[in-house]
Amino acid sequence: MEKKKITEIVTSTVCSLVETLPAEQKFIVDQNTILFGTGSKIDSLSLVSIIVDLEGVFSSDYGIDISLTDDRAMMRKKSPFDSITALVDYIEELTLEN
Amino acid sequence: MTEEELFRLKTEVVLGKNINLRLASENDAAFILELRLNPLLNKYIGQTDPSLEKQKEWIENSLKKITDFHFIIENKEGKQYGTVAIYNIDYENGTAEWGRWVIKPGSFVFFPVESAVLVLNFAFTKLGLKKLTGGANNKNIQVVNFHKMYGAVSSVDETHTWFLFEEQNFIKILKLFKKFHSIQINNK
Repeated sequence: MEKKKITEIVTSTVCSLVETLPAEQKFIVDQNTILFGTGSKIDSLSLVSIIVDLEGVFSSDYGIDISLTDDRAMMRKKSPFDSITALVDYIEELTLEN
Repeated sequence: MTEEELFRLKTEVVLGKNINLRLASENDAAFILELRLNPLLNKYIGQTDPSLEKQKEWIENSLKKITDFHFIIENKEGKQYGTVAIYNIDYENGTAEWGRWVIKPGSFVFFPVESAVLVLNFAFTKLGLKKLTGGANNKNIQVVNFHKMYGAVSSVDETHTWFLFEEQNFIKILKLFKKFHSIQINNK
């Protein structure tokens, strides 16, 4: 799968979440958006929602099973949730192996 | 289940993948008070009396009831991270409420979801309940969205979104969040 497509899916998933937020909590989503940790505007329940949504989309729409929260993801020096770019890179890595 | 068995259940620890749930004791009063008085966390929960003694009394009272299971969420090293509860239990009709779900900032990212799954599993499997209800302020959008994910929203009014968790839907929750817990789904 092309990186562009992965970026589109990830960005769209995060944007869908942001759309549900009240005006004062909305934020602009870009490649540098931090998904979790210091500086993130996304809480843990919302991150779970993003992860479940993304894994669901890749599995049901593209037949690609990915796991974004296994030990491999969590133990990485650079967390896949540091930014949208980091998550896209990680998903690309997984899809190439799939 | 007899009253004696229910009280015995109160002494057991609910073991999870990354966390455990154990009944709150008087020793947890200061922690619970700190959580409930934290302005970042108490925007959408009921008011709490700031007295430590009152908090201890409240916990003591909860421990005496078989209709109230007030848990401390802790990691595997026994460090407290939050609370969650099943209360107003009606054993005859198999119903209860779940809530008092407060988790301190800085917790491991998947503690909240695992605590939700564990407490639901406890209610349906251990207590044998059939239906749980809960509610969240409409402004508490993260919690509302979370429960929407698995279709638990039953109604919405001007101030609150109300949730319904039924035993038969619990399997859906277990499957959706399978990576966040270690409960065997095959046995359900």
